[in-house]
Amino acid sequence: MKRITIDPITRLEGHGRIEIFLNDDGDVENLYFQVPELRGFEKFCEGRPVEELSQIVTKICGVCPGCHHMGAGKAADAVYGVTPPPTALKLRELFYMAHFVHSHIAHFYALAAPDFVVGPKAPAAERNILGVIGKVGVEVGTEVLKQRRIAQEIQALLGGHQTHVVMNIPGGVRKGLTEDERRDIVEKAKGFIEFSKFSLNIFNNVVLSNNEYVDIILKGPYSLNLYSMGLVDENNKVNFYDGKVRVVDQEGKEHCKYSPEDYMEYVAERVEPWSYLKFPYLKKIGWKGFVDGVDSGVYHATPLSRLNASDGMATPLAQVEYEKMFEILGGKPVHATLAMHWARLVELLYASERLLELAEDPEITGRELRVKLENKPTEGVGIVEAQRGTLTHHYWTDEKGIVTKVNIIVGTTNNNAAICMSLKKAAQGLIKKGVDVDEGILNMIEMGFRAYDPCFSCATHNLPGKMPLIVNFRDLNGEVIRSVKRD
Amino acid sequence: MCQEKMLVLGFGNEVLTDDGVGVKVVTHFKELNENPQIVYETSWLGGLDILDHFIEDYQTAVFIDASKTGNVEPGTIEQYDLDNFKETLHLSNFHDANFINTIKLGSKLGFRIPGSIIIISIEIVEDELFGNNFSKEIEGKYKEILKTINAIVQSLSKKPD
Repeated sequence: MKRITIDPITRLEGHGRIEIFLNDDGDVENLYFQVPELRGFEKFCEGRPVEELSQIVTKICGVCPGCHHMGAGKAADAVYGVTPPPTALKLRELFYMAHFVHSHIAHFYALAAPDFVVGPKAPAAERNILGVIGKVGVEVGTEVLKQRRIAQEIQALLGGHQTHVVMNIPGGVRKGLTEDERRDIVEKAKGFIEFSKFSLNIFNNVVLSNNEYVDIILKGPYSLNLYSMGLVDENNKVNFYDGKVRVVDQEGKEHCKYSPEDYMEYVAERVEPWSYLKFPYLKKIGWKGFVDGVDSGVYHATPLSRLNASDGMATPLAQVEYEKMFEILGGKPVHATLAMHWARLVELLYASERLLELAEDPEITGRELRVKLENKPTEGVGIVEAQRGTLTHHYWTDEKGIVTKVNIIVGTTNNNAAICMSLKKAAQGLIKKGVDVDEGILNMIEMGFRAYDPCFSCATHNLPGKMPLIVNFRDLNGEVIRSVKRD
Repeated sequence: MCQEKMLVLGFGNEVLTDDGVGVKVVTHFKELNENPQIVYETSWLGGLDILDHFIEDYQTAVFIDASKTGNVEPGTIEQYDLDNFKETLHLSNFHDANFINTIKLGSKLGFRIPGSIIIISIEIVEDELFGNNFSKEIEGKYKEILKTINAIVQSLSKKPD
């Protein structure tokens, strides 16, 4: 058996690696994706007042601090058995939509677009945001950074800081919104909507009009027949901040729908000896290994799964794009992993529209920002959709509200099994005996990973700004007979 | 000698043992506030977020970050520029752009990229364990780290007339 190692080459050590094992025929026999895990966060939280956690959890990860802040805020509400007043809930959601706009813009232009606008087999030196701007124009690049910055400014205004967010307190939020600030956000939201439409147009013109790219999405080695998870509102429409978790099967039929506090009845976590990161799965289906299909409890929690698990989008323009996406891709649910990029743009439009709805809501400038905490604190669960998947925070406290136990399932962890399976499927489809495994092939394997936009800052550890790769081809004695390297 | 306006940006997560040494160093300098020509800032992430700092004019930018190579003694301080750039823990962002492309992008899009960009790396031991305190190796050398980096920063801020 031959062994291929895809390993980051940097000054850093202890980061993710992909091990590919080839059989004697030169085909991929197995693949292992490994990332070292950050340790001790639960211990770090224990002994602290639960109201501190919403600020501390933003320090798990600098990439999606707003998601952890919201998950923690909701969990702390639940610990005290309170529901914040309508104005506070709307302010939280307003902040959260800006967080999604910021993150989804960055992902599309910096991570997804290079593969399609520049090309999946283009030289690595060109396949990045600089290459994208070279193709679509400097003015688009300027607009990308401008819209992204505006979204950050809204987060900083509402959250107190764009990264170290201090907005939530149990039962509400710290500060309200003035009328001037509201009017300013309305104008900014209109700009987001136009930019979202523009981004969907780029996807339409560059990707959907190119048969080769559509074939890669639909017929490439990137499809997995998994269960789909996502948070939905009372009408089963996509919701990022609140609602119930809905899971649909491979045919789109509802498998389960549960309230946050019941998550442990539906989701369990598998431990594998070769991985630091756990593998969540659907408890009632069970763990059957790294296989897809209706009998396997492996699910994904991604932009695509959110759309699969819902009955539509709660805003009008996003609903049109939702219908268009499923129509073009052959109906619901879609199992093409790379369609996640399209789903992410539909979500970008939804977040922009929802941001405008909230900013135009008269209640958003209300002055009732929190409720009194009169119940004895005990235990609480908060679930939100992070950009990278369903995020669960679960806290236990003593009667004084001091944290005694913490459990967090982050978005990327939900997708750990799916990521491993996507990588393996891509490798099996692309690495064959006699095929020259060049930089283009490596990138196409990595595309199966990149679609998830996995975030290891909180799930495990962070990786450098791109994934430098080396593939070592080893003979049966373990000797390297050829290396393909990308710095 | 004249003094030019300089940005000193420290990176890292200060609750991840040694990971946030760059943030702690820069926070210390900021509190001392010895040189009004130097602006001290901290950040978690590199990548595109770096460009947010370049809407003001700086002649020099100094990035202070942790590095974990295992090749040198903990506490070792190394200095790079764009010509001999080596990756540190936070200068690049896996979710958007690496450091070099960020600088190139900023130049292309009209950001005020400083003429001189210096990276100071600090070799660390532990960045996978949550905790407010440094590892014993970094704790033991922290005063020396502060002194060495301050000397570098102050010398960079003084350019010949």
